[in-house]
Amino acid sequence: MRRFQAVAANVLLALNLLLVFLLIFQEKVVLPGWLQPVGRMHPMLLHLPIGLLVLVGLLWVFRKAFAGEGVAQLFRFLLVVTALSAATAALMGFFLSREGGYTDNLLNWHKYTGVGMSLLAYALVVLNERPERNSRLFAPVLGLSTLCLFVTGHFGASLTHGEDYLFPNEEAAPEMVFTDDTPVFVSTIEPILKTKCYQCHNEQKQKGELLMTTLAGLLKGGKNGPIWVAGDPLNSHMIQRANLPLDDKKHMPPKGKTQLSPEEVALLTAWIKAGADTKKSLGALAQNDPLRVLVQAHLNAVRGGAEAEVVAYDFDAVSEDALQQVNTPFRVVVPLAHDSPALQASFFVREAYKPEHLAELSAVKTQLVSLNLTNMPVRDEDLKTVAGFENLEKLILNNTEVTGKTLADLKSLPNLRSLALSGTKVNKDALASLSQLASLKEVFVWNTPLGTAELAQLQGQNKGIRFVAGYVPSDNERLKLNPPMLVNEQFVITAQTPVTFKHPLPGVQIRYTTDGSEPDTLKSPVYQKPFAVNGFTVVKARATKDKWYASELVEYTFFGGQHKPDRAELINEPNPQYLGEGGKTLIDGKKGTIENFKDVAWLGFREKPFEAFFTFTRPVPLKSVTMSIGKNTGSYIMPPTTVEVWGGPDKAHLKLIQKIQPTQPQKEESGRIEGIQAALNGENCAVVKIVARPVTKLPAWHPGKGQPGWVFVDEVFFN
Amino acid sequence: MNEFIENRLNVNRRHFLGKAAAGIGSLALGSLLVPDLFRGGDEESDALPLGISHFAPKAKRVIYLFQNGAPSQYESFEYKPMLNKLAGQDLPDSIRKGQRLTGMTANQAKFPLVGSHFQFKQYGQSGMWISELFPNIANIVDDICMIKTMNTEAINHDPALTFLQTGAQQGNRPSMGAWVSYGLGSDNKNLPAFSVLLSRGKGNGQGVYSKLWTNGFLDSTHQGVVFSSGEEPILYLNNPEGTDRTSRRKMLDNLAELNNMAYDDFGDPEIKAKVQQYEMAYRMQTAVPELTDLSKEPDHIIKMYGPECLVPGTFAANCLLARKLSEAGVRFVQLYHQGWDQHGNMVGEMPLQARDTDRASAALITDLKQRGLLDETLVIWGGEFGRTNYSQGTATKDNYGRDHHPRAYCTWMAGGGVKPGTVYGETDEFGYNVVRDPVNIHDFHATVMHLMGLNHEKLTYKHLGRRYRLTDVAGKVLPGLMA
Repeated sequence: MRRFQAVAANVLLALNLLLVFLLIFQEKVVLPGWLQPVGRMHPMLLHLPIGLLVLVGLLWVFRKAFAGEGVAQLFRFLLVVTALSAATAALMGFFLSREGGYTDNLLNWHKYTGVGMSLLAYALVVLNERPERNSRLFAPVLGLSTLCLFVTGHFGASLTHGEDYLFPNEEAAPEMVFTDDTPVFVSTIEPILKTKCYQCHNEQKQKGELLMTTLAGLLKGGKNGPIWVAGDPLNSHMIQRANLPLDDKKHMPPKGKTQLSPEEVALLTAWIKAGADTKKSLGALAQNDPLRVLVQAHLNAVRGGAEAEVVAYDFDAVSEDALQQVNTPFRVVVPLAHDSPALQASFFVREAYKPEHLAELSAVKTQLVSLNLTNMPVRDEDLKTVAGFENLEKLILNNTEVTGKTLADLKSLPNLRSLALSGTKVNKDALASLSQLASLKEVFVWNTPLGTAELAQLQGQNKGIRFVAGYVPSDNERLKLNPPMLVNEQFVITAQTPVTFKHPLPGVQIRYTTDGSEPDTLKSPVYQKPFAVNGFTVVKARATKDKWYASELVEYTFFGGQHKPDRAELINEPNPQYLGEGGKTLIDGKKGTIENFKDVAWLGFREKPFEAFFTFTRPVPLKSVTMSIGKNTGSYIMPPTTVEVWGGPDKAHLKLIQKIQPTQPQKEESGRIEGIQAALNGENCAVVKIVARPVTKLPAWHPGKGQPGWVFVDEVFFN
Repeated sequence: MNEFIENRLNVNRRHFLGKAAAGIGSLALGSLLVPDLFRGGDEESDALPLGISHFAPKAKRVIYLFQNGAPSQYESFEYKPMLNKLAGQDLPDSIRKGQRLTGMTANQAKFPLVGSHFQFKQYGQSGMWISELFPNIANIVDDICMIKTMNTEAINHDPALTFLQTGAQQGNRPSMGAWVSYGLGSDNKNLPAFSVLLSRGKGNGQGVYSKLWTNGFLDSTHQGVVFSSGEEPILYLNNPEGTDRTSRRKMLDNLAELNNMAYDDFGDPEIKAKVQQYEMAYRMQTAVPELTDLSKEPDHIIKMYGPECLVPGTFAANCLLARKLSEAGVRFVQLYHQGWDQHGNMVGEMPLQARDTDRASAALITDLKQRGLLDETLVIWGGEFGRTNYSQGTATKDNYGRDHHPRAYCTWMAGGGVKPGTVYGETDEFGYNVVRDPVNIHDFHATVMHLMGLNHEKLTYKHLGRRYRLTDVAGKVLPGLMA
């Protein structure tokens, strides 16, 4: 320990002498480059003497509480370490100061007090060697050291964090309100530089000899010259530096500091490209100028970030109780937001409305800024009540009974900005009185008696108000009608379920055919009342109306059978996925739908042909057989290639009585249900066998060409 | 011990002692560490009140015109002439960048690029490119914000739909509408805050399921209520035959009296909820007929929305009903229009789908605007993902199909604080990858919530031991979309 003390005393002396020497000859000193990292360790080491000195002070104050030789030894040791660390920190600080970029004035003070701190600590060590002789001197020097410590620390902090770090000058940054006339530089560029650059390029600390806080400094540039070349961002130092990789030594802002966001770099680039004009305002830029777009996005982002973008109201919020009082299921009054005193009110359910309900809102008349009375039977005289809602900004009176006679009453509303009168009986004279409303910006007058010419005149007289007329129908615009609708979607026709059409639009004629031809909009029969069809019938219909285009064609296929078989038996099993309910599926009268082929109303065949026996109790003369089949080219469901009808008295004696080849689709078609009818010659049959063969190879146009197709059957009818 | 009494106390001895001990200890410690602990703060930063906007909202209500099945962006709003130029050539690997494909085209040997069969033109002051299939939307381009860069993580309909509606692909979370209902409550107490309307187009369709409008773990009052597509939008609302309104009122009053007696005995809050539900149903008996009543509408509303608006269950009728619901204070109206899944027959089906939706969608915007409601209503139009720039199967001279594509697609928004007349984001010349300003589903949710005056990070619900939100652990508000 003794040896340590001896060595430390010598080192302390040397260090302090070196410090004084450097301080005196600082102008002439040139430091080797390898000392730079040592200098940069200053911020790390400087906290050591601070802590130690405070500890020394505490130990000294409470010295009576500790007794014994050990304590004095410890105290002595602590003092030496404190002095050593103070000297080292000061020396490192000196190295760091040579890097430049700091304000001379502040830096010098920090330097002097720092060295003074080191010397004082050394003095404490010396004084403590002869405690009995110097006891009177020790306390003042200790006090002085502590004071010096705080002063040095304060200067140091001001150097790194800026002079207003400790006591920020709140008034210096008033809330800025930007308009279109504010120069882009002021609204956008300067704030970016302020947050991302000022920290190292300010009056106190000018790294790279660059001062960015003043316009003159910005234009002058740093030690490498001006930081931008107007109109040429790629050759501007500022942009080049910002675009360097983060690890590059020249990248700005330096690694570890808050970086510019890509949007900010884009903004700075665009601004320099546009000429780096510090005067040009947002309004002076073209609407689609890239800079304007970027600036607007940036300003919105800045504003969006500050979520509390609540319009400041200077009235007080109503009490929770008062709010409860005015709320009913039919009158809802709520604050705009949870921290806003302003209220919005809406009325619901016309039947429940009474004028008193509106009058009761007077309890919150100061707070009400938005009122929606859509569809309520509000009368002209009720607007007197509304006129008392002094802070109203938005008023919706759509589809109310106001005629506009009393609109002038609303002039007592100095903040009314938006007024909706659509669907009311207001006329031009009534609206003319709106010119007395100072803040009015928009008026909605759709579906009012107002003519186009009158509106233009009103608009001309009130330049500050935007009148919105909305959709005005024109006779030139012709629309296609929607098709007729089938009321009973029962496709197996019986006498009780005739074909019934309807159309929701009044004055529409429905023309139809039952023979498969296209309905003619002039000659085909007009639908008057429900009609019956016999057996398999395709009904086609179209809706027509004057000044409208005729609707698309609708086509419904109806089925019906005079003779109902007793039994239907499948000879070939359908594909296991589409088994339906076996043979009876075909004669149960239940139609499948095109949306769901998995439904049990359908039988599906692919590998084997459809083959079934139909048995009648006694032989019937057959004129025709109709198969109801599904068709959906996209799902490979095609009509059968051939349909054979065999008939006879029993299963063993059947002969082929008809064979047809249904037409195959030639291109992709959407799904539908079709009837395939085989005409017969009145043969008497007790048993009928039907064979329908699926497509074995899909045609070349089909996406699945070469693969087998499907046949789907839901019903078979006999006539 | 009488369990009803216990229920009333709602706390037992063990609970009480356990809580009290820990409670007093932590109070003492707390007051040492935070001297102001008992002073009563002005507000707790994390616990924002429910049923009210966190900050002033831009939009008070949402109408979401969901185009189910994924409408092709290339035939609607994404003009990519490069695809016509390179038609038939293979999609370069440098563009595909390993994008996973669906089972429907993964085995395709070639990915032949195919351009739009339909012509594009620029419209409005904003000069937005719109296909000839959407002439009415073309008329309102200056009111809408077209997002070109929506992107999702899912590649099949169900997970993509579920992701877009609930913020997660698996389907156990509350839907957007349920979150909004939970966060903002109902404006009109006589109608459900979250209403769902379904319609089906003529194209190849995909189903929708109730999990898309589920309340998830939220209270069941936030579930979407599906309106029937028949003549009566809400079933079982009419009084039974022989019962008039006065006797119904009397019956409800007496029933409420009995229920309140039961409540006094048992204290079960569900009894109170039941009474309120009866009352709401009673009020709905007058509120709903006003909704379906078209007599307040001028005749030309039919021309505006197109004549199909008179046919219940069509998209046009649903748009008109959506406007009326929204006008009547319904917070979130969710439409689904099915039939947009054109894997094949694009040329045949796309015009039919467009015709179903184009006029009514545009009419809805115009209608809200002319009533002064567009600025407080947010309208969203879009599907669950986009479609590929190459053909599924071979592209012939006059037909082709497109498979699912998640990396970039179009969605447009209008009204309620949205920046009108703007195109947001940009894709490459192939329309395949986002070049600038991507909008992922979480960002989209965060932005919609923000427009509604909700902080998506603060609207949470604690479930299974952790707090959930619509955006879960992601999402950022996109200021570029907002006016």
